[in-house]
Formats: sequence, structure tokens, C-alpha cells
Amino acid sequence: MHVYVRRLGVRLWLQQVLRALPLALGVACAILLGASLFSGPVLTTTGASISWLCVIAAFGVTLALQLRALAPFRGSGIARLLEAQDRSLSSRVRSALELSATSEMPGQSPELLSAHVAQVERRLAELPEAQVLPWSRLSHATSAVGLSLLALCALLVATDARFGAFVGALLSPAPVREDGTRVSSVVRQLRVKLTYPSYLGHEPTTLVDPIKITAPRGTNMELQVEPRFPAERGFVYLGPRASNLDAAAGGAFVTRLALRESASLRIQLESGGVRYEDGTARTLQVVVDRTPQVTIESPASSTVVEPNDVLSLRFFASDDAGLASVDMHARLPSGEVKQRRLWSALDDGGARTELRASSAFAIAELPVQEGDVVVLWLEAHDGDLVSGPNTGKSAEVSIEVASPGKRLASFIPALQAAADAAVALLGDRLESDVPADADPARQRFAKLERASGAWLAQIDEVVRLAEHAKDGRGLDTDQLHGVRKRNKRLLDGEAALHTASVAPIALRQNANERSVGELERDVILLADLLAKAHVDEAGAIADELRDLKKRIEELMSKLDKSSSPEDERKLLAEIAQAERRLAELSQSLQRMATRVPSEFVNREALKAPESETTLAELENAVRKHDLKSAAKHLDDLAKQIDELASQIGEGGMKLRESRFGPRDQAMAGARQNLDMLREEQERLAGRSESVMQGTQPGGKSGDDGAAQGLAPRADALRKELDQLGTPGPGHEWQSQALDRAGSRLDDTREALENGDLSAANGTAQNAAQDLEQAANELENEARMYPGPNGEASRKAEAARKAANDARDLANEIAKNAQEGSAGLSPAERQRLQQDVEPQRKTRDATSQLRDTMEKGVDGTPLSPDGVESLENAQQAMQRAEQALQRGDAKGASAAQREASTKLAKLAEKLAQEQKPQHGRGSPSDSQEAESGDDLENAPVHIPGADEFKAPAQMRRKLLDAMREASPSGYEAAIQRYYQELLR
Amino acid sequence: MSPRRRRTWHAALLASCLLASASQGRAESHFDRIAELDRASDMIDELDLDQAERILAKLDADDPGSPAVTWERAQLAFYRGDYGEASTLGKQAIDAAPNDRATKPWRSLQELMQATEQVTREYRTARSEDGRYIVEYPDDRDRVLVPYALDVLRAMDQTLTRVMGRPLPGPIRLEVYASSEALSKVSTLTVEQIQTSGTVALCKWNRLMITSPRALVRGYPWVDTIAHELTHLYLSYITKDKAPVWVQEGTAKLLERRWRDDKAPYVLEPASRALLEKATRDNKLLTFDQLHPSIALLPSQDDAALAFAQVSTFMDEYVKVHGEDALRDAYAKIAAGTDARDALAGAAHTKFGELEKTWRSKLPKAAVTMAPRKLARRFRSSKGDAPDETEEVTQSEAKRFLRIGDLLWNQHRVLGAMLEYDKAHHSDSDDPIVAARLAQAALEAGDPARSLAAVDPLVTRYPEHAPTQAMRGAALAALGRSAEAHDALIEAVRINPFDPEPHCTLAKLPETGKAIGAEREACTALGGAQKSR
Repeated sequence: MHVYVRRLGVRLWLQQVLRALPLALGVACAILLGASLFSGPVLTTTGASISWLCVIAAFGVTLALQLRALAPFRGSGIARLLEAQDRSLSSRVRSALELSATSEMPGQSPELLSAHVAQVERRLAELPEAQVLPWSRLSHATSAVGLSLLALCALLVATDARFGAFVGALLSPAPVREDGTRVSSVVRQLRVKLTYPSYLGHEPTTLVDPIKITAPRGTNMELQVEPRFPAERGFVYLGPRASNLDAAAGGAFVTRLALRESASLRIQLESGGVRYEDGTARTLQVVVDRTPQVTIESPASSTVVEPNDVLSLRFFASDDAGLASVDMHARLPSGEVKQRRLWSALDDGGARTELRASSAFAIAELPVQEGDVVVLWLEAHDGDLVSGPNTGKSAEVSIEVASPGKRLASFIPALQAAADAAVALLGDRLESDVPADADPARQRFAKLERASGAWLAQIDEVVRLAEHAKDGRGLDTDQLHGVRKRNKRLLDGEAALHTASVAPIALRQNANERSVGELERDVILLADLLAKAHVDEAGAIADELRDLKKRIEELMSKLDKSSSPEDERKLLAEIAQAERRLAELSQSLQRMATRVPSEFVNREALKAPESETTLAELENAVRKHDLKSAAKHLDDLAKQIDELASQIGEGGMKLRESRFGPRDQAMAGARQNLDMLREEQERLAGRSESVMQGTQPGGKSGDDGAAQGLAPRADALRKELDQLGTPGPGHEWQSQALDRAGSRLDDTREALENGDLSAANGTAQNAAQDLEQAANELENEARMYPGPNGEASRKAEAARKAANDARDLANEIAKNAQEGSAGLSPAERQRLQQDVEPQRKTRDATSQLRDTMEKGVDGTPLSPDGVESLENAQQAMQRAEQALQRGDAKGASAAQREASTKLAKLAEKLAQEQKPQHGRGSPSDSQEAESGDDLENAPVHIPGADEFKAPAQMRRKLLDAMREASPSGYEAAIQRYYQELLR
Repeated sequence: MSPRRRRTWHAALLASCLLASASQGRAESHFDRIAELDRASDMIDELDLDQAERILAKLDADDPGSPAVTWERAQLAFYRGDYGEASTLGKQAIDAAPNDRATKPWRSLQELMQATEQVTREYRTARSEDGRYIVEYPDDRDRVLVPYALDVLRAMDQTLTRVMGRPLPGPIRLEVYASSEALSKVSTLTVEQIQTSGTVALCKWNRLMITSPRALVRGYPWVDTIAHELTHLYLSYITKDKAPVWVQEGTAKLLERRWRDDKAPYVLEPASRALLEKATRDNKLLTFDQLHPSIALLPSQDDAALAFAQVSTFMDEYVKVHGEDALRDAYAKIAAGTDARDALAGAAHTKFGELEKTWRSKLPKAAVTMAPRKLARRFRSSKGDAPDETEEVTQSEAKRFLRIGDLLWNQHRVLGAMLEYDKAHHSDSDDPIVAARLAQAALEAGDPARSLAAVDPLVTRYPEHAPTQAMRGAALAALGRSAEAHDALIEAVRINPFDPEPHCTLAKLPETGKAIGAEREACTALGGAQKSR
């Protein structure tokens, strides 16, 4: 029962409070409404406190009055609530409650009381609390009144600015500054329009109620302020600086400002004599235009260029606002600066924030000479018209105009690396035996093949650099080509032994030994070339130093006569260059010490510190205008440089004599033979030509029409070869024979188109031979490795067919050529026949010379290119021989002329390579007069009659020598040679 | 200067003084003084320095400041090694002499005294414990020579005392010169003469003078050379400096290796033997007169070697037939003024012609199948000159493979280098330079047997080739044959003590009972930690 009663009490209180609250709140709001009628737009803290007190008091009183109605239901009075449901029960509950409360009374029977209570509880259990106090009781007039008042206030807050502002101010009362300014949210809306500087080319933007405004410096900012309440005046503060706001329509204020620097943005309004500041913290971020960035991507600093080079200057420039232009500046050795515009926004359709471009300029545009160093840099400008233009500068890049020493130095590191790699490769081969088993053999070869490939690439790089250097004193690239070619051939041969089926060990060992032998020759050759390059480099620098010394001398003499700042600047620039050269020479000598054998250099003598000191003293003297002392230092310098040049020159000569002397001698002999062969071939060609001219116009060799009719066959065959050379799926095949056949078929077609059946006959025969060789190779390969779907076998068949076709074509051409020579007289035919033997001998001699050149002095060919040229000449001679036998004068003459031309070109090439290097290693100035250039200007000595007579003894010797047998093929040439001598 | 010329100068100088003092009636005493001065001068030449000093002191007291006496005092100081004092006294004598002509010969010697003083001014000195042997050397690098030099001086001194019959008055001084240029400055030889003839040592003015082995690319047998020069010093003393050059050289060559083993027979080295054979065959033997005044003045190193071979075999034959007693008797006769040929013949109770005939009959005539070539003594051209012998390989294929081997070796491709050196060795198996490189690479590649096989056959053919000796020692050490290794390595040090490797290997040898500490010190001092060829 007690539990029931307690629950009922709680329910009663809850319902009463819920019914009273709306009313209390409504009354409080009504009080607020009233207060708002008497307050200003912004409440101070005191005003807000009083208002709050009133509101709370009204709320409390109303609530208390409402709860007073619960007083009769206190204690046993709660039973009254049951009256409406069951009067008797109400009474019984009341009595039970009262009796329970007075249980200590005398005479009272607890049993009766318990029975009574139990009875009441049974009744109460049948009557739920919700039935006694349903929630519908909440629907009451007081609640309605209260809710109405609340709704009214909410409506006013939403619609009435004054009331709304009052409520806002009540919630956040404005603090008052010392100057009386009240800080509160007084701006309803702030609109900002940004108009950017014109050079940026940006459209204006508008911001609404921004907290942070970011804009470039120079931007125009237009402000529009809408106050929360009517105000008479307005102000805007950028940092400490205030500006008036102009009144605009609808109570708003406007103004326009130019942005210079970042600051806080504050807005103040004045209303009724009171100043208000908007409490929202706003900032203005003025972005300063950054300096443009520019970098030179190429060339790299310390690049060496040739005087005639066109340099590609690649650069990257950027700017936040936009680039306006990029200029190149070049500082010359004299200190003068040259400028050139590389890019302009005006020419490129407007500013760009990023620019990657390249610009070509010729070194020759600058007034520089060999050995000069030019310092380049770029300057990028932006279009900032507000505080600019800003200029960004790149790092400086020094460009050196190549001098002979530099040219040599440009390939020395690569040559050194290649020489070291060759030794390493030889070591690899020597230190690992050829394995008997297939897998280790393949692994070994794969490793060697990789290393060899890398080494050959290094050789290519050396050749590239050396050829770029274009220095006559440079590297013998012919030899390097030879090294490359020979090793490639050996490697290809060895690769064929390490395919899917590995060749027998004996064959592989043999191939390995051949490679080792070749590498042994190559490492020595490369070491010698490197040593020579080092000596040449040092020599070239020493020569440059001597030239510089001369120029310094000239400038000093000029300065002595008439002192001018420009001459002095030039002189100092030359001295600076000499200092650089000296430093390079010092480095070069250090390199020489490790790479050039000691017998060729006197290391004690090859030291240059004294010269460095002398140069420094010379520079000091010039700066102090002490020309007398400068002249003395110059003399010392000259002596030191001459001594150094002499030492290097001697070392270079010793090196050349020791390492290259035998080769040079052999080459000189080969050239002599070559000259004689060329003369003989010329003679034979002339004889054939004279026969041919005698038969003209009817003496054409073959018929042009017939020849041209055969040309398409040659063309078709060539296409077949192209097809054959194309790698098939899963089968790659490369053959030098096939390549050769292809180019010979090209020659055949060309000869046929020109109506030259004789030449076509020779090339077609050769093509047929090559194709047969290629077919054999392919058939062997197909037997060992048929390839997927028999690809290799199919190719082998095709190659065989092509070989047969080529043979048919060659026979056809030969037949036509034979028919064409029918117009010769018997005497002419006999004359041609007479030349067959001399032509054969010449060919044999060419073959011997080729062998000599290939064998060289110690197995290294004298001239790899020469060997190839001689092979070609030999083939032409063979064709000539065949043509002579056929009585084909035109064919013979063409082939002979071709052979002769090839020999002449080779002779010219070798002469170029063997050209003596003037001015090298001459120990002193006095010896320079002996160089070729000076000889041209030397007085000519005209020999007297006595001087010109060949001594009788010499004539006798010559006649004796003439009687000795001449080498085969050289007879006629030697005969003429002796005749010339005796004359 | 010969005694006769010296006496003439003494007479001339003293005569001028005599004229000045004749008026005072002292002419007789002046003639006595000339005789005394000559005696002092002779005693200096005969290395009896103490007696000479006593006479000169008396003469100086009688006539203080006499130029002739002062000059002899200068000579005495020079012979004692006091070069500063010698130079000063010499200058005083020249300045005081009244006759310029007479002092001309003095001037050149005074310049030599001065030059010697300048060269040796900064020298370091090492002495034996008893003070009898003094070694003077130019800088700390040559300190490595000292213990070996003192050993050989002591041993050879004992041998020569026995052979010659009496000891040399001490102290015995050895001076070491850094280069042939320095040797030229302190001697009367030019640099060209020294380098042409391969002269590395001299004995004059009571001292032994040798060039440091570091001045030569491969070093030279400097220890035997000290013994050789000491023999000269003894002979000068025993024969009162009257023995002709060929006797001097013959005896010195014969005895130079006796300090190692007093009983060891004289063995002509193979290259010298080949030269002698060739000269005998071609009838190109040098006459005994051609060897005068010095073998160093012969036009080539080959001629010098032939001269040594001739005179040493002559003296060897003489001792073999007539014994050491006859030799000592002959020296005594020479000292007494007898001609050397007569003295030798007299002591042997025969005629010199017979002696010569006997010697010629014993000369080797049969041509050696392949004579070893003579390795020239190559002086370093500069301080930084690397000891590169490659250019001395004569066979072109061998030279080629050697270069390839060197290129591989420089890239630390030891095995590859060994294979290339092996090819070079096959091309010329008699080349010690090639063999030594092969041995080094083989040793480095862990094959000491191959290393030893390369150099072992050549060590007797080229005993002066230090790298061959050193590599043989190193290979033997690696094979655990310590005693043999020790001997080979010591032999290498006796040729080129500046190669750190033999010292380092010696220092590591177990139980040889030798001065390991000194070898370790030498190894470190010479930079033996950094391995290099």
C-alpha cells in the first residue's frame, strides 16, 4: 500500500510541475518582452544581469504559485485522489494510512490493522495509478496560457530585430572598453569585393562574411557592411589605421581600400552616441609577390664546348604571379658582360607561372677564344607592377671553350675506365676455367657476355668523346673500332657455342683462348693509348701555357707603352687563365705519374709549384703596376714553362718511340706498299679505259636494256632477304653473311640500273656466295635447334632458295655481260687478256698487304679500317680480273677504278692518321721554327748543279737493287720507282 | 799524390822559407825538417797516423804556421775523419804558402775536404761497443744498414788480420752516401764515371766509402762490398800503399766473401765467368797495365767486371798453388818497394811469366751453354723513381706478358697476373725479373711451391738479383723451411735492405734464433705493413 501511495504521489508532483512550467516560462518571456521595450541594441553586463534577475524571479513566483495547489494531498491526504474512483476505498486507504502512522497507540490490535491493510492492498491492486491520475490531466488552461506566451516570444525573437538583438545581447552581453566602445556582434553581413592588380589578369571575386581575406598586394578591396541595428556612422580599421565607412542605401555602409600589407580587420558602428565594434575577429592577409625562380638545367657547369658549337641552353623558370621575361647573361674573361633575351611574355601570349624551355646560342656569338671560360647565368623577371618587377637569378654556370688539352682530357677518364674494364675482363676470363658442364658454362659465359657488353659500350663512349673532341693529336679511334669489332666477332662466335645446346668443351676452350689472346693485345693497346693521351694532354697544356705566356708578353709590352685599364683587365684575365691551366697541368702530371710508366717521365722534373708562385707574383706586380718586376717574373715563368714543356716533350717522344715506334715503322712500310699498289691499279685501270674508249660507241659492255631488265629480279631478291632477316616468333637469327649478301644485292641492283653489267656480275656472284654461306649457317642451326613450329627449318629452306635464285641471277648477268663484249677486236681482247696476270698479282699483293695490316706488329692490326678497305679493294680487283678474262673492258675498267679509288682513299686516311704532330714536344721556342707552319715561310734553298748530281756510288747501288727480284704484284711499280730515283 | 811529387812540393815550399831565413844561419835544420815532413807524409799514406802526428807536432812546435806542416796536419785530420779541421787547416796552409804554383795541387784536395765536410755535416754516427768500428750514414733511412755493416766489419777484420798477419790500426770508418752524386762529391770520380762503371764504393783516405743500396734500383751486394773495401784498406796498410791496382782488386775480390766462411773456396759468379770465357775465347783479356790507376775508370761495366774476374782468378790461382804464406811474403816485398810482379814471383820462387802462364792455362774456355746475362747496376734517376725493372726484360714476348701481368696485378687480379707472368716465364725462363714476379704472384695466390720453382733455378745464376733472393726466401718460409728461408732472406737483405718484405718475413720466421726484434723494427720502419711491389 505504501508503495502504491508513494508512486501516486510522485505522479501527482510530476503532472503538476509539467503543468506549471509552460506558464512560468511564458511569464518569464513576457517579462523579457517588456524589458526589451526599455533597453538599447546592446546590453552591457549590468543591464543583462538585472534583466536576468527579473526573468528568474517571474519564473520562480509563477512556479511556486502553481505548486501550492498540491498542499491538500500531503500525508494521508493523498487518499483523496481515490475519491473520484472509489469513495470507500479512499476512506479505507486514509484510515489505513493513519492507523499505520499511529501503530504505537494502546489498545490497538495489530492483527486487525494488518488485516485492514491487506484488504486495502487487494483493492488497490485492482486500481492502476494511471486510472487515478491519467496524463490527460496535463491538458490544462495554465499550460495553454504558458505555451501561448512562449510562442509569442519566439515569434518576436525571429521577426523583431530589436527583440532579437536584446535576446542576443542578453545571452552575450557586450564588454565595454575603456573608451566606452561596446564590443558585440553588430554587423549582420559583410560583403567584400576584391579587384586584383591588372598584371595578374584575374577576375574580381566577392566574399560574404569572410573571416580571413587573402589577396595579392595592390588588390582593391570594396567593403559593404550591413549593421544589425540602425547606426549613424561606420568605421573600418586595418590594423591601427581607421577609415570611414560611407553610408549607403538600406542603412548599409561601404568603402574601398587598396591592400598594401597584412593586418586585422575591425568594423565599428556608432549609434545613439555609443560606439559599437563588431566582435568577429577578421584578418587581412596580403600576399607579397615572390621573386621568380630560374635554374639552368643544361649545360652543366664546367662544360667544355667547341668554338663552333651551338649550345642548347635548357632552363626552368617559375613565378607565383607570372613570368614576364628571361634573359641570359654571359661574363667574358675580360669582365665584360653580354646580355640576351631568351623569352618574353609579350612574344609568348602572356605571362606564365612556369616555363621550361631551351634556347640555342652559338659560342661564336661571343668574343671568346680557345681556353676562355665564360660564366653564364639567367635572370627571370616577373610582371609585378605594384612593387616590382622582381628579378630572380640562376646559379652561375661556367663554360669553357675547348683548348687542345681540354679536348684530350674530355675522353681520358672514359679511356681510363675502358682500359681498367679490359683488364678486369681479362682477369675474369683468366681466373675462371671453362666448365665442362652445360649450366655452369652458360652461367660463366652469360657473366662474361654482360661484362664484355658493358666494356664495348665504354669503348663506344670513348670513340664518341674522342671524335667529338676532333683533335688531331687525339686518339687512334681506328684502333678502338678494331678492338670493338674483333671482340664483338669473338663474342658472337662464343655465343653460338652457348645456345640451347652447349658446344663441346674443346671448342669452348678454344674460343676462350682466342678471346684471352685478343684481350691481352687490347689491354696493352689501351694502356699505351692511355699513357699517350696523358702525355699528350700534359704536352698540350704546356703548349697552351706557352701561348698564354706569349700573349701575356704582348699585353705587357702594350701596357708598357700605353697604360689603359682595359689592357690591364685583359692581362689579368690572361694571367688568370694561365693560373687555371697551371692547375690543370698539375693535375695532369699527377695522373701521368700513375698511368705513364716511369721510364717515360722524369717525375722529379715534372713539378709545377714554382710556376704557380711565379704567376701569383706576376699578377701582384701587374696589379701594383710594377711592370719591371712583372717582366722579370714573366721571364722566370717562361723558363719554367719551357723546361716543363721540354721534359714532357721528351717523355712523349720516348713513349711514342717505345710503344708506337715499331707500329709506326710497320705502318710506314704498309703505306709505301699501298702507294705502289694504288699506282699499279691506276695504271691497269687506264689501260682498260683506253681499250674501252677504242671500242666506243659500239663497244658497250652488255646491253643497257638487258641490264635494266634484270634489276627488278635483284630488287625482289633483296626483299626476300629482308624477310629472311626479320626475327620470327621464338627464333632470332643474325648472320653477317646475310647482311653482306643484302648490301651486295643493293650494289647489284644499282649497277644493273646504271647498265653496268660487269659490276653487277661481280656483286651478284659475291651475293650468291654470301647467301650460300648464310644458308649453310641456317641449316646447321636448324639441325641443332629447329625453333618453335620449325621456324628455323622454314628459314633455312627460304635461305637456300634465295641462294639458288642469286646464283641464277649472277649467271644470267654473266651471260649478258659476255654477249655485250662481243664488239671487241682480237687485238683488244688480247690486250685485256695480257692484263689478267698483272691484275692477279696486284690482287695477291693487296691480299698480302691486308694480311700484314691485320697481323700488325704484335697481333694488333695496324689499321682495322685499312684491313676492311683492302678487302673491298681485293673484291673489286677480283671482279676486274673476271671482266678482263671475259674481255669486258668497261666492266674491268669500272672495277679497277673502284679498287684504285678505295686504295687512294685508304692511303689518304692513313696519311691523315700518320700526319706528324707539329709543335709537340719541342723543348724550346727556338725549335718551334722547325714546325711545318714555319717551314712554309722559311727561305728556300736552291741547290746548285753539283749538289743535284746523284753520286755514282748511289746509282750503282740502285742498279744492283733493281736486279733483285721484286715482290709479287709490285714489279711494275718498283720498276718505275727506281727509274724515278735514277732520273 | 805520389811520394816523389810530394817531396818536390815540400822542397819547393820549404826552399822559399829557407831563402827567407838563410840569413839567420838556420839552413841545415831546414833540410832536416824537409826529411821529417816527408816521413810524416809517408806515414799518413801508410796509415801510421799516430807516428805521423807525433812528427808533425814536433815540426809545428819548431816552426809554427809553416804552410807545409799545416798542410800535412790538414791531411792527417782528413785521414782521421775530422773534415772540418782538415778543411780549415788546408785553407790556412794555402793562404800562408808564398808560392801559388806550389799550392795548386793542394787546392783541389782542400776543395774535396770542404765538399766532404759539407756532405757529411748532418751525418749520424753508430759505433761498435769497443769503438773500433764506426758507421756514418746520411739519414735515418740508412739506419737499417748499421747492424749488418758492423757485423761484416767485425768478421772481415778478423779474417783479414789472420790472412795479412797483423791487424789494422783502428778505428775503421765506414761512410755511407745517399747517391752516386754524393759519392762523386767526396771522391775524385765524376758521376758519369761512377754510373758508367757501376762504381758503388771506394776505399781512400783511411775510410771505406759506399753508396747506399737505396740509390740503386735493385740494390747491390753492399755487405760483400764493405768486406771488399776493407780488404783494400788492409792492403794499403800492409803494403804501405804500394800495391798496384790489379793486386788490390784481385785480392779484394778473392777475399770479399771470406767473412762468411773463412774456408770457402773462391767461386766466380756465373755472369763474370761468362765474360771471362768470352774474353779468353776472343783473346780480349785486359792487360794488367790497363787496370791502372783504377778499375772504376774503365769504359764500361762489362770491362770492369772482366777486370775483376781476371785479377781475382789470378790471385785465386796464386793462393791455391803457393799458399797464403807466399801471399803475405809477397805483400811484405811490395811494402819494401819491390815491383808487385817480382814480389809475387819471388815469394813463389818462380817467374811472373810462369805465374801468368799457369793462370791462363786454368782459365775457363768451354763456352757455357747459356750464360746468364749481366744485370746492370741501375742508379735511380730521381727520388721518386719506382724500382721498375720491366724495361730490362730483354725477350719481347716475355716483356709483353709481363706488362699484362702487371696491369692485372695493379688491379689486384692476383691469379690472372700469375697466369700472365707464367706465360712470360715460359717465353724466357732465364729472366730473373720475370721469375721474381711470377714467384710473388704465385705466393700471393697461395701456391708457394710454384713460387719457389720459378726462382730456385735462377738464384745461383743471378745471385745479385735481390727480388729473386727475397721471393725464394718468402716461398721457403711459406713452405715451412725456416732455416733455408732465413739464409735466403738474409741474402736478399745483403743486397737490398730497403725492401721491407724480407725483414717482415724474417721477423715472422719461427725459432731461427736470430735478431727478430731488429727485423721487426726494420719491417715497420720501411713501411712493411703496406704491401707493395
